[in-house]
Formats: sequence, C-alpha cells, structure tokens
Amino acid sequence: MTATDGNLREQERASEALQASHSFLVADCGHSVTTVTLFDVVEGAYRFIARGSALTTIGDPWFDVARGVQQAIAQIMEITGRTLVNEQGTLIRPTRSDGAGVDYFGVLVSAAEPLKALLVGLLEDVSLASARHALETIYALEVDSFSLADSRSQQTQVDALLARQPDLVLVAGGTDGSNDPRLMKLVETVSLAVGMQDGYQRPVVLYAGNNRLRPKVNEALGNLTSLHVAENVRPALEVERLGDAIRMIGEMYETRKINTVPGLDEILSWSSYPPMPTAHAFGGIIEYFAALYRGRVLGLDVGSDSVTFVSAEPEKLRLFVRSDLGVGHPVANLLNKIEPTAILDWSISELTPAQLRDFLLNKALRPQTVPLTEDELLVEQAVVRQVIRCAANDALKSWGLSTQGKLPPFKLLLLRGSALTGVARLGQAVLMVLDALQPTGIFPLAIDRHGVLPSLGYLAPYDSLLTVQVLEGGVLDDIGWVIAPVGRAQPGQAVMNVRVDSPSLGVLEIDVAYGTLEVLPLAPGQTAELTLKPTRRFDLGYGPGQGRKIKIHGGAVGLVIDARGRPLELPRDAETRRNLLRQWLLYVGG
Amino acid sequence: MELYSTTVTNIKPLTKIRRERVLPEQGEVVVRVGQDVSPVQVVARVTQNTGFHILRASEVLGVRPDQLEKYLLVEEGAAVQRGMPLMRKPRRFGRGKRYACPVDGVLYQIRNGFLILQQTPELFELRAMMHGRVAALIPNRGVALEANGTLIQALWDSGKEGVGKVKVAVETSADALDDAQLGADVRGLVVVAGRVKNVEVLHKLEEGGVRGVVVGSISADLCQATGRFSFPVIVTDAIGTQPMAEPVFQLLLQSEGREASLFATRTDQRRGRPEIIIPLPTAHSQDQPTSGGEPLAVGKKVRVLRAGSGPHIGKVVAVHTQPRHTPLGALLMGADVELANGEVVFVPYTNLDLLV
Repeated sequence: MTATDGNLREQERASEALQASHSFLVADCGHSVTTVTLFDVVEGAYRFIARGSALTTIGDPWFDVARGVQQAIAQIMEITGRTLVNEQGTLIRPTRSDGAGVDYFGVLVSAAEPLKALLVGLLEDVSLASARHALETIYALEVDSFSLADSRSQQTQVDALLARQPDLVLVAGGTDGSNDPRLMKLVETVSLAVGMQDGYQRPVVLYAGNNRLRPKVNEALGNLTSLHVAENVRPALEVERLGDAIRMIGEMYETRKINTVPGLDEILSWSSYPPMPTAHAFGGIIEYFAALYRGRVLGLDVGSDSVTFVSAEPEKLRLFVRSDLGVGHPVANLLNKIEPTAILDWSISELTPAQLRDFLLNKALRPQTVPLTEDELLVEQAVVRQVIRCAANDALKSWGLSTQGKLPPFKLLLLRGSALTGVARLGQAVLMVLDALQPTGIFPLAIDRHGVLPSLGYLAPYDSLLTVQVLEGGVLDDIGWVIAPVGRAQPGQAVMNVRVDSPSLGVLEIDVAYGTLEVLPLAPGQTAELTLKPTRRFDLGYGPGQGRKIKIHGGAVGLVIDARGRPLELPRDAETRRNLLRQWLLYVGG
Repeated sequence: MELYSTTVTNIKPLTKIRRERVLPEQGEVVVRVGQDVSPVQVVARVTQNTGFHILRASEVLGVRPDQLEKYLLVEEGAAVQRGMPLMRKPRRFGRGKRYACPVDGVLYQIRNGFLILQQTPELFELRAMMHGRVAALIPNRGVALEANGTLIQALWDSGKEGVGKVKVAVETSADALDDAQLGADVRGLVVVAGRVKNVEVLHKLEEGGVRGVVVGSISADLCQATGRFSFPVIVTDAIGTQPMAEPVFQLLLQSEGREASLFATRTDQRRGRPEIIIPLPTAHSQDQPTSGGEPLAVGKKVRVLRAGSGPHIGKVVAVHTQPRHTPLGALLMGADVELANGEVVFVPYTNLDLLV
C-alpha cells in the first residue's frame, strides 16, 4: 500500500465518521460563572462554534442553576442565529430537520458544595497521606482526621465527628493481609459517633484499608450507615493504589453534592450523559495532551471557588483540587495560610494589611465582581499569585514531585479559569503564572479563553474525533514560549546568549543578564529558530552550560526569557520593589 | 437577549414580606395558620442534644462486651442521674465493683461493651422575631410568617438575630459611630450608622443593652470581632469604610422609632441574604419583593460595586448585550450608568447590583 492509498483510507474513515457527526452542547456550571459551548461540523470537521456565559444562578435571588444555563444558551442563540430551545426554554434535542436544537447535551459541575470528608488512617505519612491523595482529586474539604498520632480521647474524637458532620468518612490503614488490629479501634470510634447521629445525618463510609479487616469493618458499620468498600489505597507499604477509591469518591460527590444542586435536575433531564465534575474533565484533557506531547503536561485552573492543578504524563494522571482556595468565596481563607505581607509584596498598589483584609472579604462576599480601578486590579492579581502558589506548593508536596521547591520539567503549560482568562492583556496572566509557579526550563504556554477544555475532556470518551478536530481547529490561544534558566549569579552578570533567527524578526543576538525579564514579541503564526548558549552556571534542562537549537512558534505575548532567578527574590525596599514589579508588568505588555 | 446583574437587592419601603422561621432539626410547631405573632412569641420548639458521654463499660468492669448487660443496673432508654449507680460487678467478698453515672440524662445505647449516655437535652425555642401572621406551617420544622412593611436586604451579618426600635445615631450616611454620638441610652434599640469607628464602640453598645447594629460598612477586623458580642451586626453595603447607600439610610431614617427585626443568614448566599424587616401596621402593601432574577433595563436603579469610595448609586441609561471594554481593558457585557453627579460610565454586569 502506498502512502497515498493510506491517506485516502484515512480520509475515507474520517469522512464516514463525519457522516455520522452530530452537534454537541455542553454546560459547565461553575461557582460564579456558567459557560455553555456549542460544537458542530464546519466544512467537514468538528469546530468550536460559540460560547455563552452567564452568572451561575445557584444562590440568591434565583436558587435555580437552570436559569444561568438558559441565559448562556440565549447568548449562543443570539450569536449564531440558531434556535436551541423551545418557547418553554427547554432544549430541543435531537436536531430538528429545520436545524433547530442539538444532538447531544452534557453537564459539567463545579458549582456544587464541596464534599466534607473526615479521614481515618493509621499513620499520618502512609495511609492518611494516601487517603488524602484520593480525596484531593475531587471538590472536597477535609474537616478532620483520626490517626494513631491523634492524642485526643475517644470521647473528643466522637464529639468532633458529631460537630463536623462530614458527608464522607474515608477509612484507610493497614497493608493487605496484615494482622494489625489498631485500625479497628479507630473504626470503633467512627461507629460510636455514627450510631449517635440521626439517620439522615449519618455520613457515608468508604473503607479503603486492609482487606483482611473488611468483615470486621462491615460488622461495626454495615448496619449503621451506607458502607462502601474500595481496594486498599495502600495494599503494601511502598504501593499506593488510588484508582478504586477515587472512582467511588467521585460517585459519592455526584450523588451527595452534584445531584442536590438546585435546578440541576431540569438540565440533567436534557442531558445525554451523566454529569461530571469539571476538574475530572479538565484532568482528562490534560492527559490527552500528555499523550500528544509524549511527556509531562501541566494544567492550571484558577477558578472562583477552587483551584485545580494537573500533572499528566502518558499513563499517569495526577489531579489536585483545592476547594478552600480560589479567587471567590474562599479567598478570605488565604490569610489563614499566609501572612498579608506575602500578598502585599506582590502588589504594586500601596495597601495596609487591614485594607487587604477588607479587600479579601469584599471579594469573598461578591465573588463575581471584577476590578474597576487599577489599584484593585493590581491587588487582585497579587492575590491570584498567592492562590496559585499555595495550591501548587501543596500539590507538588502531595505528589512528591517537588525538587528543592521547584516544579519538575514539563513540555506544555495550559491555563484556564476566570482569574487568568479574564485579564485585559495576556501578559498579565503570564506574569502571574511565572511569579507564582516559578517554573524552569523551556516550554510553550497556551490559555483556554473560551473555556472549552473541560468540555472537550468530557466529550472525548463519547466522540474522540470531536476533541481532536476542535483542538486542531485552534480553539486555544497560544501565549508563546518561556525560557527560564536555573542558576545563581549577581544581578547583571551573564546568564545566556540567545540568537534568534526568524522570518519576521530577522536575526537578533540577545545577551541575557541575571535578574532580568526579556520579552521578544513573536506574534501568533510566526516561527523562530533559537540558538541557546547558557553560561556554565546556568541550566536550561540539558545540563549546566549546555545549549541547544530549538524551534518555537509565536503567541499573544511571544518569547519570554525569565532570568530573574529561582527562587525569585524581590527587593526588600518597598519603593524599589514596586518599581520593579511595574517594570516587569510593562515588559510583558500587561 | 436579556442581561442580568450580579445581584438584586430589595430596598422596599412597603411590601408584602414573607419570612420562613425554621428549627435546626425536626421538632414541634406550636402556632396555627392565621395566628398573629409578636417577635418574642415561640413558634416552634425542639429538645436538642447537648452531647453524649461514652463509657468503656466492659473494660471498666473487666468483662466481655456480650456479658455487660447482666451487670447493668439500668436499662437502655432509662433516665439516669449523676452519681446514681449504673453498673455493679459482685465480688466473692465485699460490696463488689460499682460505677456511678457521670452525667444526668438517658442511657442512650449499649453497644459492643460501651455505654452511650445522652446528656439531658435542652429545650430550644424558636421565636417569631417579627410581628406578623402565620401564613403556612412547615411540618415539624417551622412556619412562614407574613407581614406588610419595609424590607432592606443587606450584604453581611454576624450570624445573630435581634429585634429593637430603630435609632439613627449619625447625621449622614458616611458618619462613623463613635462614643460621642452614642447617647445615654441604647437599651432595646437597633442603632444605625454609616460605619463603626472601633471595637470600643461595640463594647459600649453591648454594655448599654443594644439589640442590634446596622451599618453601611465595617472593617474586616471588626467583622471578626462581632462574634464576641451578643447583639447582631448587619452590614448593608461593603467591607471597609464606605458610607451607607443613601436610599437605605433614608429609609432607616424614616423608620426611626419603629421596631426592626434583623435576620441573619451567616452570610451564605445559598441561604439567602441578611435582611432588615420593619413591619408596618397596614393591611396593604405596594408590591411584592423581587424573587428570582430581574433583567437590567433602562431607568432601573443600580449600585455600582467595587467602584472605589462608593457606594455609587445610579440609573441605567443603556444596556449592552455585546461585550465592551471596561476602563481596564477587560471585555464584558454591561450597562451605561448615570451616576448622581451626572457622569455616565460603562459598568460590566458583574459589578451591578440591581436595586428594586
């Protein structure tokens, strides 16, 4: 068979698939904003058609999430001129002969309240850590934990469980087959507390510990509450197996939280597929990119009420969801984790710690609002930096991926979430991410301004062709490339030499000095060949002093050379620091 | 296409108010439909758990869990009193091993060698907290009360409720309440001010027997401090030092001397908004409060959120359903708003609070 024959077959197969092609509408109900995206076939390939967004109507004065979905659909109808709902506001499905409606509809949810979980395990660093890893893959809040290291009396632990009223008690502990009976003492405490609660208040219990103890756990809890059994998350000391527990926690989130979102039943009645947590769909699409890039891809979603950080390698997905961090309601929690100065150091605006506390509480109370003054914008972006930093630090620690506090090498960074996509100029998003994550090496950056990535991850199992073709259609915005060398020097000393050879820019030689941020505008669609020659004290990921030739493509910001050092240290003098922050913002076009 | 604001705030001089009063858990409703109630009247009650005490009884006696019951001196479900003998294990010689009950309450459960003692429950009485009429019963949980009167929805509350006569303690909506303005007697009053100067003022109010405080704004630091006080604090506009919105201030000024009920939601938007309700002795109301969204339209009154040293109240003069650039460059739908000084500004819908 010749290559041409092969191509023809490929085209025929694609054509057959497209003959059976359909239109898809996906609603993503976030805490603050509901986004609805429409995909359909255009000139033989699936494409992103339009997006509508509206405030999520889960709370006052609506208490009905369907209203926000309908408002977002109305926007799509206005943009496309296509009728999608009938006079009653109900989605028309499947597509009618006159072109009205869509064939498939699906729902993503992050607007539901987080699952309140109490963790039980033997050892803090072993079974409890694994239980925590499983819980971190969903919108959840750990309200307490019991372990052997817990010095509280049984009475106090029982009181704590009764007071916290968890939705889920996740019990881990013991390696499979071991005879260690100590876990049963903790299970006994759970059993006592659960037995004291009224039936409707009792939490679901998920047992993911020593398989030998399952009958005893069943005896202690089986007739008190809904007991589920998953594979041991730590079957052996050195083995962590989370898949089964993660799947079951996801199901519990769906049953106990997603299904109780007011008004969701109405839009679920239109849906062709079961609902999915947005974070899981986002993880799914990052996994797709990891397969495509044959290496680690990072995804960051900075939302209103949660932050999702994803690290995917071929065959290995790590998902980290924090529901106590975000730029909406949870933003007021930030000062429980860090000092006000940690935020104010990143702000160009002059603010006292008390004013910062006022700012954070206002933002928490009115999470949908956007800054209207430059001062507020700069403070808000300083807050976003610390929200990302807290989440990323905790994620890396949890995954065991942090090397001396630095991100591991990766091949692509994908950004989404209103805090990053809502900026006036993408340079602002780039700078926030570089300051917060302080990544190293050489990598491209892209941003999901249309909010389609979770929808594509959600639809991929049902129609993988759609995901592939929509991404090929250029639905993401390229930001550009970042080069961030690792090494130490005095400010102004040489870090590397970069020769840029580009049809649009010509040939340029740049001597990069330590402590600087260089930005070279390389517009979307343009390419450049870079010859990188670091000095022997600096490493680009190929070894100290080792250079390389690479080809890059342009983006909204272009090529960013971040030679500010790692960890990034800010000047102590407030005036000097603010001037430097303003200068960096100016360089990236923010 | 319709465009909605981020929030809708009811500021109604005279409207038909419906307020649910619900027990924290299932209990008994003690009023009937159609009955008039006063703020102090109990509408529902429940005996609430005050806690459990766990005894590792089989370990104490040194017996197997399945043998425990034969040493017990009281049965499951029986009332117990502190000091009364709870169990006894005879010895061959002497009086045997006895164990006295550590708490007053009920022997709630005997399980796996444990005795679970439920401490004497406390009676929780849910009061109406407002003048009104019982419009409906919520079986085993509470009532829906109705009244005609003034309704003001607010932004933040300290998580407590209260009733008292309205006393506006400052000259203008921007004035901060300080010691000098407090006056001699605040007993039984709901004190209104633009803001509160410091925590000492709150201490003075507590000492004076105030029933509640309504302010336009309060600092985040003072928000935290309000938890220490017995009276409710309601914030109408913002966290910080902004004045109270003029329409709210004027309405409270008009309501001086009337009884106001302050209702909290613990500032959880999924549970509604904090509210100030001032029932009026009239059988008629002008309208109903707005429930559900109301689209932005020309002529509607709005509050511009996060506009600096607000509040900025204005009137919608144009609605833009196509995205436009904000002064900072973000691209959003919104409305042109004419402010009190005549200036017309474009405000994204995310920063508009529709006043109805």
